Amino acid sequence: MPRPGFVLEVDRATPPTLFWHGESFRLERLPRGSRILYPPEPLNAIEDVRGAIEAALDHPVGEAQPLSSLLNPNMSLTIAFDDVSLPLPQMTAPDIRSLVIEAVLERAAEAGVTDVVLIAALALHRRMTESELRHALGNRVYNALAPRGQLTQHDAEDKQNMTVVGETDRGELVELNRRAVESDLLVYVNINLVSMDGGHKSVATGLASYDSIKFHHNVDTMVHSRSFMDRHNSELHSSNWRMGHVIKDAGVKIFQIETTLNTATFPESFRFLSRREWEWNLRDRASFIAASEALKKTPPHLARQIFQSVRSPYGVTGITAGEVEAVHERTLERVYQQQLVRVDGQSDILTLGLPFIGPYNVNSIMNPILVYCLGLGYLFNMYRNKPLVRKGGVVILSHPTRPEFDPAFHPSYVDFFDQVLTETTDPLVIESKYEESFARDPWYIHLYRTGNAYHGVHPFYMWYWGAHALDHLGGVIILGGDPKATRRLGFQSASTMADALEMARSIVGSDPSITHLHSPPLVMADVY
Amino acid sequence: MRAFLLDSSIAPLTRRLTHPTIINAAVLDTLERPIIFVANHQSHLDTPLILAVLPPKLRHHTVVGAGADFFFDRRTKGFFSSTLLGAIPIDRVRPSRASAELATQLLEDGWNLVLFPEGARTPDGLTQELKSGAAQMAIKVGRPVVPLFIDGTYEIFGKASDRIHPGSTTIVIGQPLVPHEGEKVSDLNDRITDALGVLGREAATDFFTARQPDQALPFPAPSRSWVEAWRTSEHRHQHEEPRRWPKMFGSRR
Repeated sequence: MPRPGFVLEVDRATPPTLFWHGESFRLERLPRGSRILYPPEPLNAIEDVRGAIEAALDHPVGEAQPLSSLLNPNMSLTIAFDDVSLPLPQMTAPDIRSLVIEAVLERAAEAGVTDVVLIAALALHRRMTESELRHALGNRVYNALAPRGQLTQHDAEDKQNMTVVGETDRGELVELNRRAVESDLLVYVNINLVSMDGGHKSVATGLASYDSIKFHHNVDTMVHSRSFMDRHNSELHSSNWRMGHVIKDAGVKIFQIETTLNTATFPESFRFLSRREWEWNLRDRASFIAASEALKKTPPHLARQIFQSVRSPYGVTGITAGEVEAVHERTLERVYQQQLVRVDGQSDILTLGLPFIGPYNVNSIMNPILVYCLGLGYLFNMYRNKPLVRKGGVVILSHPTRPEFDPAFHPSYVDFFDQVLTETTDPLVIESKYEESFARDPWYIHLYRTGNAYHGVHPFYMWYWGAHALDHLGGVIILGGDPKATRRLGFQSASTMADALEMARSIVGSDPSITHLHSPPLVMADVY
Repeated sequence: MRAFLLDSSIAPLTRRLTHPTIINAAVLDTLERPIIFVANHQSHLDTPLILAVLPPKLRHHTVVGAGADFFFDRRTKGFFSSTLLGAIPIDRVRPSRASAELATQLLEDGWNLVLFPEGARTPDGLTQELKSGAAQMAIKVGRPVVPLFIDGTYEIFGKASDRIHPGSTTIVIGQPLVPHEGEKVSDLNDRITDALGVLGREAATDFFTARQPDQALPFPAPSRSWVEAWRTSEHRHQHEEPRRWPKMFGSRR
């Protein structure tokens, strides 16, 4: 029986705490009385995954019929799937998407459906490379469909292949991929790594245009998503759900397949990253020392390559298929069962160790804007009810925050960092003054459509992602962060934890309460 | 001996496995040795298939460029490759003078040469970018290049296949491309690429459609539907079963 997560109160006997620090680690001694939120151990994985997929396809939930009964030779079938931003890190082969899509294609082949198209639901993310597609889909799926032009990637800027489905009662435009919408059946295959993923968001965002996405990817929505990891209190999700209802009312037939993973995030060689520090045995200590010392002597680009090659031995904890909302409710239950930990009360200071990877730097560099987004967007929002840190509190992020960018994947980030953040860091000003010009820039659009670049507007969304945290916090300190890059983000840098805590005290008072979110593996705080 | 083996066993067996349809076969009767045949590369069956469709007068005087790292990494493999198929080693990892000199010498001695300028079998059925070695050799010896497009061997025994699934194939034979006086290697390579593209489209459509100017893709998609491809691959589960036996055949790389 896997042990649940819990909150540890630091005392004299507590060993130093492991902090992620980009492509390295830090051991920090937190003051006595600090709290450390440890994630639950990985739930037991399903042993017969193929069997579970078959069962899900045959026994859908909600108002849905078994998949086989929806297939016939004259139909058009579109299968959309989550892109490379999930899961993190990429899972060991076989990726759950490949197993699910193989099962769907097996049935489509049995039914003689020739008009089948796969679409990577990129939204405004970068196009996946061939090796990423092969990893996510498996060689069998790739070889059967890619040579025939039946494996495509969503292009939000291809106006000819987008279609307006309608508008919500609040005037939000729903413009989606034409092929997906006009197909007789749209099957969506998802990986629900965190509670933010899935549901109506899969189609309403993943297959939408910029003109549609901007209705929920904006500062106002983000500030009113408390948090966007809590579906029922997230304005981001409310907007997507409204759009989902428009899509349903327009007659688009969606068969949603959602999958959940446990938190077996690191391979055996990095076992110490998943263990609680006082349970480290000799091998774990030796592994930690060897890894830390080796990483100190490794050039950053090499360390990045090593970490990016990590594959997570995630286990599948559930597969549900059928009607979107019914499926998603079950998915959320499983995600919460794996990740949720009760925490009593907020604290003055929240500390976060940021790892080498976030959703938008797979096989790439985590630039300062992505550091900001991972810390204040994702990890800050890993809560239900209220944030782990009080209003006016301080967040301390641990990350080197080097001003390095990937020019192929993140071209507009470079200009955002140099041209926008030098003027202002206020999300509202940034949104009103700069967003449109970046979003409509023909060069960024060209790179998004033909290369592997994120859309020109993407760095703006990263900034909005942290808008709720910026609105809530009294200060942000980056421990070990490059001073110049940290200042550009509008934050302070500190070289030691003691310095960072001292700086934080000047904001929150002399005897602050401290909570550390010991993640990854992923953990979500249920704060009362 | 080699001609006997080719005519009596390899060519009939290959025809039986691949049921080739040859388009524009008349070109082969007009050719004078030595010729450089270039073809797209879908399968290990491509070499015996080309030898099988060539008329005996050409087949008996044809050698085939084969990846030294794969076909000549072990003595036994090298022996059988050269004896049965007339393979000569081409260094793919580091372009070497020795490979080029051997190929040139054989051409000058009147041997035809088959090259696969993609450098390796296609991993996905799509034709890859052509390397310029064939064009370079044609210019060097001043002999024509005859493009051949092979369609169907990927489904029969493609790179991802673990066994042969007998089926049918199409080979489209192009007109000889004679290097012009002073022509650059890249220009001839472009002409070969274009010619192979047209032949590929012809394999999927017909002579006239293939030559329409609005054809966007340099090479066409395979002609079979995904359902057929899926069915022939249905027993493969490449990523779930750990290997039970050491690899007995194939490159050690």
